Amino acid sequence: MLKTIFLRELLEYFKSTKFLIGFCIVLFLMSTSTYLNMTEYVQRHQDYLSAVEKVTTRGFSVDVLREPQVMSVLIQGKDRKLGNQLEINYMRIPVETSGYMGGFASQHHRFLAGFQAIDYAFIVRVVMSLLVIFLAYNAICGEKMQGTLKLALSNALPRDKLILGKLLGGLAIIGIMLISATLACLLLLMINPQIALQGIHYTRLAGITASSALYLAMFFCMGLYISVLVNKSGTSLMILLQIWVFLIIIYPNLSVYLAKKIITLPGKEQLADQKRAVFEPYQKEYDINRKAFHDMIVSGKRDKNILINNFNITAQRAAMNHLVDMEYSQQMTRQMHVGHQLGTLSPAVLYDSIVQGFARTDVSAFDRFLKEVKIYWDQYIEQYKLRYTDREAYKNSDLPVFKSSQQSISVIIADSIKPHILLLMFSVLFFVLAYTSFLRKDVR
Amino acid sequence: MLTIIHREITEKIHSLQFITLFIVATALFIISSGIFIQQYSLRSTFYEDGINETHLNPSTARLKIFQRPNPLGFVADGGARFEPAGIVLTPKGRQSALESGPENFKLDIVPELDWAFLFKIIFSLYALLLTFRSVSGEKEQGTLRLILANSLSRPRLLIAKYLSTMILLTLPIVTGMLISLIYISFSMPEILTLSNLLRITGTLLLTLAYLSIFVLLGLLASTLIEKSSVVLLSLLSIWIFMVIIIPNTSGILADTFSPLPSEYETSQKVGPIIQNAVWEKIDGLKIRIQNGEFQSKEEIIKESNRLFQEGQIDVAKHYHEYENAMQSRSNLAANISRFSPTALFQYAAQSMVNSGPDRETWFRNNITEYSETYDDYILSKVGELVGTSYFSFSTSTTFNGEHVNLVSPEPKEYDGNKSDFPHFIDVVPPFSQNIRSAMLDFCGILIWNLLLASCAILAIRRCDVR
Repeated sequence: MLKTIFLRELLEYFKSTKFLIGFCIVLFLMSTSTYLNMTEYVQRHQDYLSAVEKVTTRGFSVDVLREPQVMSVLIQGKDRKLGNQLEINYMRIPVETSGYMGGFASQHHRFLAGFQAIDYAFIVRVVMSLLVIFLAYNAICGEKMQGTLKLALSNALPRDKLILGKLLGGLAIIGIMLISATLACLLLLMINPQIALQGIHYTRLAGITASSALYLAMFFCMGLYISVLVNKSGTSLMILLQIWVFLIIIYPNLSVYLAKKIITLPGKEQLADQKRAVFEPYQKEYDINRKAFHDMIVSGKRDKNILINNFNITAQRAAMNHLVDMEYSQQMTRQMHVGHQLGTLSPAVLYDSIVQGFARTDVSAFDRFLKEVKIYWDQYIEQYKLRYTDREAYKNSDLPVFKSSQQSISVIIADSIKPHILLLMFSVLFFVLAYTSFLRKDVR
Repeated sequence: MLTIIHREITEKIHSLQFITLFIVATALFIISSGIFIQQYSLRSTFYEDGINETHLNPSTARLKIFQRPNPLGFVADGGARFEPAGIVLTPKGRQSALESGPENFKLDIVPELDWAFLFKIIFSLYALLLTFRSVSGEKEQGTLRLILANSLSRPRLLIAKYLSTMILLTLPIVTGMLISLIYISFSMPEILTLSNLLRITGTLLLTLAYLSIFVLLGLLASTLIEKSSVVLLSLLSIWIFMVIIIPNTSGILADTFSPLPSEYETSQKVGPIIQNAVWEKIDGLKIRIQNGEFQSKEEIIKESNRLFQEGQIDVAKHYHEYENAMQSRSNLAANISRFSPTALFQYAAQSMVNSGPDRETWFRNNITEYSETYDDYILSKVGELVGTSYFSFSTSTTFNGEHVNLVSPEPKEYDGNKSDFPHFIDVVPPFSQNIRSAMLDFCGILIWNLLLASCAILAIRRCDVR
């Protein structure tokens, strides 16, 4: 019996105009956005490769480059906006990346700032969730209005079988839509010779698809519940749309504002004060060494000891400033996490954090990069020191190569367990509510 | 017709859509005002502190000029958080952006919660929700043929439905605007000036013209398509395209297809330019020193200063070209997005309240004009004008066995009395100029209206009402 209901539901959906329109729009959007993002990514990646090839010590500075993520084609996250370059030297370790024109001149952040990414994540989060609402809003109340509900239940069909059949039918149609859309994106990625997908990327994509399915299933269960709760299709659709507007547009927006209010970040001056306070015990030594260094430059008489002392104390100052900057950077991350926690009740916020984790385009990937930059800086400083202690060895040594590690999929899955559980809980909760309400519903 | 308008209003005013719109809009108007007051007071303090510092100690080497925060930012913020808080002006008119204080780039990118956001996203959506059943719904219920059996022409019915929805939408807009204005004027009574009220009234008219597009679109789709649920699905698809997808895709389109060199390409030219413009000149100088062209150390330093300055002009020019290229790219993105009425509305609203990129351009142009006065002052006090670029250079050579340091010259700070310093005055462009720049976008909105109105009237004339 369950099979009959399931097949009937599936057939109904396939035949419906709304499914046809929605499916075409989703496929169109998925392929065009993937194509556009792919073209942009290929350029970005090409720029990155050329820049890596040309990395040399420029005077005393060296550029550290952040590799663009392939998965940013589908889940842009922070990848495109954050810039790919960071210039380090023995005086400074920045904690913000910029465009290739360098921190002080690059306009990279500003001109990308206002644009939201239109990508796989956006289409699932906004367009497909809306489509799912359209598929689910009249699942029960529509049949009641047509009078087919009482006809169906006048047969030897238990109510729970009917609603379970409807759920399975809905989930199957969501699965079909999502898998087709994902395959369309994957096909575009695979036929592009400039994009090299590896095994890990397929695993990540599978993770993204599974999370998307869970996210959409939640909306379907919610739709089913509201459709059981009210008797008129129009009312059900209106209620669901209001909930959708609130959960997708208004609520995530408000949670960011609230996070800003709860965690206030220190201003530039406070930061400078903190740096001064931390370095206070060494300030005198620093001033003496800087003065000696300056006098040496003016006189033109090279003194190895002055050079080494100046180098050591300046590098120490850079490392200590970096600690303060990193603390500030972590506060930014905390503010973002508070925003996410406040937005926990919005499935859109949960979904975004999960898929960005899978795609490595989230803030934690950026924070990891910053930590790797510090490790690289230590290596770089060791090599640079040779310039003063052993010039011959310095000339023969190669510039250390910056290596970015890949986070294993198991860590990503472990990180995403909490939002996954929450999404699952919402889905189960709505289905249980729909189920119990339907058992008590007047079906006449 | 009045009867129909009356009937439509009484019917829709009790609908779930309208009640939710009213509550949500009022709440959001209040929240957005609260957020604005907080942000404005932070920006004002930053501005006042900066201005005080500059007034107490004006610099002849590196002058910080702060931009006054926009008191009408709550209407259309125009990305103020991404704009620099001011400009650093150095002699010979070079401008660079002043850091605007901490902005958490790790936070999720959410649109600024200003009036423009409410109108372009929330109200436009509800305009569709209030109209999608207008014709198709009545057809489904069978009331459409009953109405038209009376002596009422079809276009008149459509006009009545259009007017009633517009009246309904105006209610929460005006209520929200008034609440918001009262709330804000409690903390900032200075915003209630005639010019500001005119600008707000202009925005209200603009908003109605913008929302009218969605009402007409709703009526058109409702006339063309039989089933209400399909009408709504089609309308929401169009809404997502118009309101979210087109404005947000324009950035990536401009980035990918712009013929201008990318940031990476531009950055690759910096090294060779510095080599050609600066180091080759200095290397030439070193050869000339060896050839005995110079008589004294002072002569060498003077010549090196001249060469460094000359070279820096090319470097600064390259950076200027980069800024222009980025600006053109963002203009291209804005023009692409103008296919969407939402973008037209956003730009027109920004012009109306003097925010967004035009405000920054106006500010920078004023500084360019002011830089002449600034340079004259420096000349009169310091005696020479030394321009800077993004880099300072340093090298050394030997002259008659003596070590000579060659450093690119820096502008000098005048230590004397600076009470006659000509301070920069930040002027707001006149309302008429803002109106002129909003006109083109406003015309675009009107064209959309005319087009959709004609289509809707044609559609209802040919519609099968049975």
